[in-house]
Amino acid sequence: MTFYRIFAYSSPSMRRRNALLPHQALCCLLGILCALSNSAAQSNELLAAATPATETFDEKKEVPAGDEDAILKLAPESIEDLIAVQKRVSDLLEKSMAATVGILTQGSGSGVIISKDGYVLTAGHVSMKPGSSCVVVMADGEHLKAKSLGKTYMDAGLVKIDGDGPFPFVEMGTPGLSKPGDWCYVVAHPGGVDEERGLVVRIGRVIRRQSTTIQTDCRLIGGDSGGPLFNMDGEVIGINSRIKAELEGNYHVAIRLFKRHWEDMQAGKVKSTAYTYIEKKGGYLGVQTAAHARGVMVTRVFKGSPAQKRRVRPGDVIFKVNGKKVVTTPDFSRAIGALEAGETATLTFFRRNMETELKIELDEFPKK
Amino acid sequence: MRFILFTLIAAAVPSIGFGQAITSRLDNEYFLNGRETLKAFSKASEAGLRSTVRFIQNEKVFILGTVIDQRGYVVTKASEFDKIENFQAESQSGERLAAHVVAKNKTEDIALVKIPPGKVPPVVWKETDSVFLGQWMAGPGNEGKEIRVGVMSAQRRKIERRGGVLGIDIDVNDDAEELGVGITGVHPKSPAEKVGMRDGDLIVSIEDDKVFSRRQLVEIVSGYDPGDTIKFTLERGDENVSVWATLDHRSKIFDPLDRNQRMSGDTSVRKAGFSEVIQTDLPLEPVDMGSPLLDIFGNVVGLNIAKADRVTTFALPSELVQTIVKELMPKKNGPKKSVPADELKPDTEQKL
Repeated sequence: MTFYRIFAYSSPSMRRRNALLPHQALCCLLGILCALSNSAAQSNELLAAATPATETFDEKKEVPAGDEDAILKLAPESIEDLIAVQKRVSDLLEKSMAATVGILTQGSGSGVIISKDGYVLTAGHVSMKPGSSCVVVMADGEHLKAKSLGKTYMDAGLVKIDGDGPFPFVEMGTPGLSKPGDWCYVVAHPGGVDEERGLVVRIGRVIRRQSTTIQTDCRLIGGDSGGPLFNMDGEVIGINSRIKAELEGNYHVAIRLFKRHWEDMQAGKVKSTAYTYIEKKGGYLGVQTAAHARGVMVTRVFKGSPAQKRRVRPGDVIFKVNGKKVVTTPDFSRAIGALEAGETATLTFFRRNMETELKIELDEFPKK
Repeated sequence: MRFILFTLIAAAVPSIGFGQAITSRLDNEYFLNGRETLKAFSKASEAGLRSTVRFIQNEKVFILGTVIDQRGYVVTKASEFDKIENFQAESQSGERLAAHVVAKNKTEDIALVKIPPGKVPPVVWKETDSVFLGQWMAGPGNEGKEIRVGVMSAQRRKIERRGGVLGIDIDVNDDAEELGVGITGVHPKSPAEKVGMRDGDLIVSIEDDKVFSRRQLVEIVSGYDPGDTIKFTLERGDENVSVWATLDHRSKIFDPLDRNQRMSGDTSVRKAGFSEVIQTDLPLEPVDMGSPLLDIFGNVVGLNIAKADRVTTFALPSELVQTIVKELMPKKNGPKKSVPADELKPDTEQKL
């Protein structure tokens, strides 16, 4: 199961560095979701009842603005219905585009301004480290200085444009209201900011809504990351985050996460790194892990961590914590998270196929 | 024992099924390109599919074409015919038709092909002055068998030409004052590899121009087009070696290194160098190019010319296609036999 984060990297060296980042843990989590969605797709038997499309249409006839009924239909039944959707998007597009920005850090991503004073929602893997400076590119090409703020797990990120504005902005939607079949649209900078081309629009439908993720068929690619997903009222309901190879595999961070963690993010707190779900409670071990057939594989050992001091190595496949089996990366996070600093974790793992055991005293989480 | 094992498995499966029932997922036929949604695009579908032909070599479709008049003239993507020798056309009904290339315009990558008259109904062109961002668009996909839909996704513009490439890495620390530029890497399957260029060779001249700096080397090479054959003189050890390399498309050599291209599946080889394009997000494959781009009423506003990546398909606007067609049409009073395509020199092809 390959997952791509959709961020346009500007230099090959960056690309290489990225390839080495151990964010497989998230990929794995998502891999589980995807596996489910795949089997769901297969189990959906066809239930099509043929309704002939309306053939007569007067092109000059005015379609009433915001034809709500047409927009709410599960499938458009006529050209009139299609025009109603198109007209609604057209009416909203100017405002949506004015608030959509490019974000230049080491690569090029997207974002959306949601307040007059310049708070910008983006993806956690676009905003990079809290406190770092970046450049926000407005729809008219103007470059503005900005600063990265906090981020949360599942890839929500926040950036603040320097100064008080006023900046053009859009509203955030109410979490949980969008549902499969809703029309939606994306505005962003696929492939990175391209001044000749400008912003790129896609219209599609909500395929699936989960508590923290929305899947649509608005196709995304690198550079779209952090860009807004709008509902048919022009409100932001999600932020572009990652894709799968299939055309309908486009995933957006649900707006819920931004609202729930707003104050922490504003304060520059990191609820997690962009790529992995690390619960910062309990004791600190200092490893990143990825799914493995025999348990969880260590992909990174943090400098100065208890894991490093006790010589845990990347490649070790941990399958027991304190004698209890761990099968998945969340299992492992939970097992470690349940222990406090000062308590001892006994890790049982394979190293070069040899079963090995290590007792490690957990530490406090490092301050930064 | 076996029975118990079975029930345990059976119990495990429905619990997954239950999970799916909670998080409902839109049925595929209601996706934008799902069967139910596409019914509303029936006008575009009918108009687009009936005027589309498939071009076939060795029982394989290699590109589509758009029939433009009753006489049997078809416009399509010229570069896809570069390595094609014998081909046929196939209509929507599956009828095989004799076909030959009448003329090509390499600048815009348009070819004019002739099939027997009256077999396939022509398209209805529409001016593109009123197309707008977010407008529904449609085009034949799945080798011209089904309609695919999307929107005009970015403003119309020129796509700059990309010169041919040799497929080498060059020394970033090269001294611009000294003769020759060092090769530090040769890409697999590149023109450079084919003619035996090696890491460590020094390119000292191209044709008869001496090469001193990286910038000069890049400028000279990218001034040529893919397919052009050029003489390179290399300093290898103590001797000088001359090779003739045929430049390739940038996409062929460097796309595998591009993250976004790797996410995009197959894309068109020739996807740059158009004087004006309408950009859409139609989910078409490279083989679906040459087909008409339609509005929801079935009017043709362009010719799908290049799949650039996962989210980008370019179409040439109808006005541009019609202008080129006029140039390519055999002259009324001229000889009846049309000019072989390879004898026609594109009028604006030039070296930088």
